[in-house]
Amino acid sequence: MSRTRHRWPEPARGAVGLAMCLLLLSLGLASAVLGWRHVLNDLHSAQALAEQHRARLEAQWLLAWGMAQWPQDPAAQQAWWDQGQSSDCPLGLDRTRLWQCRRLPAPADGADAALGGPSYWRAWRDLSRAPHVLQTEAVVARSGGARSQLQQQWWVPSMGRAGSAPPAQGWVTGACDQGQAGLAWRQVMGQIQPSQVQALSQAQAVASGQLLGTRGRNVYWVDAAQDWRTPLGSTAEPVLLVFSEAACASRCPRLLAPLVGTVIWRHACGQGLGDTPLLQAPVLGQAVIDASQVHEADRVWVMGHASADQAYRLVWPEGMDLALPLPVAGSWREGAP
Amino acid sequence: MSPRPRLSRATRGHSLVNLLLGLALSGLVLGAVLAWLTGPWRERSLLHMHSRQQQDLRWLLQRITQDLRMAEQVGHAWQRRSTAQADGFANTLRLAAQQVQWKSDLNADGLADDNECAGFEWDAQRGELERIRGCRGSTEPLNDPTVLFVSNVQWRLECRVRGPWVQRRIHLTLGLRVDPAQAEPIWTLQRQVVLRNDVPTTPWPSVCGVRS
Repeated sequence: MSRTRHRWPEPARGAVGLAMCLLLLSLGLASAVLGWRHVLNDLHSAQALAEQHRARLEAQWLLAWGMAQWPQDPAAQQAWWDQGQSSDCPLGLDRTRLWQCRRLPAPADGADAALGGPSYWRAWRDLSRAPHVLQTEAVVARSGGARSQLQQQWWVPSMGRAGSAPPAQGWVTGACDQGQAGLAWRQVMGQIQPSQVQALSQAQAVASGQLLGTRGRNVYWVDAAQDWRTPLGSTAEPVLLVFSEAACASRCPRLLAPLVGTVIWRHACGQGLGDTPLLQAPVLGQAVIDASQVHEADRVWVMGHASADQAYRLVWPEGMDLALPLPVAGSWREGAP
Repeated sequence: MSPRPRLSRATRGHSLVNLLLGLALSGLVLGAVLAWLTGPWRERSLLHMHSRQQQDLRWLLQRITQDLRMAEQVGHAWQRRSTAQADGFANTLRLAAQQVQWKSDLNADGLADDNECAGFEWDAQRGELERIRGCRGSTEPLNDPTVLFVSNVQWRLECRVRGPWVQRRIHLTLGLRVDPAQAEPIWTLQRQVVLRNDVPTTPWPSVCGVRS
C-alpha cells in the first residue's frame, strides 16, 4: 500500500527564523557598508594629505635639482641658456626688457616615479636690469591631483661690483704716463671683468634676436673697427658701450651718434687713439679712455650724468661672496604669485 | 453550520506558544548579538574619531608650517630685501602667548598693503585655532573644536645669525584633547619650522630679543 505525501508548501514555521536571519544580515551589511564608507573616506583624505605633503617635498627637491643643472662655469652658461625657448618664459614678463628662460622637465627617474609629466623646473633672468639674479620655480603636479609650486631667487656670479660713481665732468682718464695700464677701467668698472661685459653683451644680442638691435639692450661689446653711428640710450635707460682691444687694434672707432650712458675705449694705454678726435656726437654720462690726456676737441662733447653707470652697476648685498650662487633673502614663496 | 475541517499536523502551522517561544528566543539571540556588536562599534567610532583627529591635526600642522615658512616674503626681493635698508615686510614677525603674526607680500608687488597681514590666533576658551586674514582683525577657523579641541599652543622663537642675515626657527607645540568633550588626557605635538625668508641683522629683529 503506497503512502501519499502532501504537496503543500512548507508551513511558515521558519518565518520567524528567516526574519531574524534577514534582520541580522541587514544589520551586518549596514554596519559593514557604513564602516567601509568611513574607512574609504578616511583613506581618501589621508591619501590626499599625504600626496600634498609629497608634492611639497618633491617641489623642494626639484628646486635644488634645478639649481644643480645650472652651469656655474661662465663659459658654459650661454650655451645652456641657448637651449631655452621664448615659450619657456613665464607669462607676464615685461617685454620691454630682454629675458633668458629655460624650462626643464622634472626627471622621471628622480626621487619618485610619479614625478615627470607636467612637473618642471624653470629659471629665468632679466638681462636688462638684473643679469645677476636667477629667478627659479619648481612646479610639481602629481598624478593624484596634488600640486605644489615653489619660487626662489638666487644671486648668481655674473658681473662683479662696479667701481666709483660717474664723475661730474664726464671724462675718466687713466695714468699711462705713470705706467698704470688699465687704471681707467678699474676705476669705473671696479671688480667687473671685460669677459663678463662681453658675455652679457652676447647674451643680450642673442635674446634680442638681432646682433646690434637696440630694443631692451643696454650693454654693447664691440670688436669691429667701424665708427659707431647708432644713437644709444636715454636718461631713463642709459647704456654701456665698450670698444674692445680688437676694435682699437689699429685705430679706435669714433662715436658719431649721441649716447646716454658710458662709452669705454679699451686700448693699450694710448695706442689706437691717434690724433683725430674720438667724438663727433654728444655723450651724456661718462667717456672712459686709458690715456693721460683727452683730445681737446673731445672735451666739449661729454657732459656728466649721475645715472651713467645704471647699465652695469648692479645691486649686491653688502658683504656677500659673489663667487657662488646664494639664495636671495625674502624670495621664498609657495603657491602662485 | 459546517464543522471545522480537521487539518493534518503538517499543515496546521504553529501554535501561539510556539510563536511566543520563537519570538522570545529570537529576542534573546538578537539582544546578545547587539550587545556583542556594541563594544566593537564603540571601539570603531573611537578609532574613527582618533583617525579623523590625526588627519585634521596633520592638515593643521601642514597649514601652519606652509604659512610660517614663507613669512615675511617680499616681491622683487633682490631689490627690496637688503642689509642697507628695511623693506615693509622684514621684522614684522610678532609672537604673543596666543598669537603669531607677520606680513607677507601676497601680490608680490614689493609694497606692504592692508590685506597682507597673516598669522594664527588661538582661542583658548573655544579650543579653536584661527588663521588671520588681512590687517583688520578678520580670521577664519582652522579646526572644528567638536572634533579637534586645541587645548594648548606655544611658539618659541630661535634666531641664528648667518652672515649679514638672521635665520629664524619657530618651535611649535600643540596640545589637543584626545576626547574633545573631556579636558584630559591631552596629546602634545611638537614641530620645528624654519622660516625661509631671512631678515637683515641690522636693525636687529626685536622679536629675537637682545642680541647676544
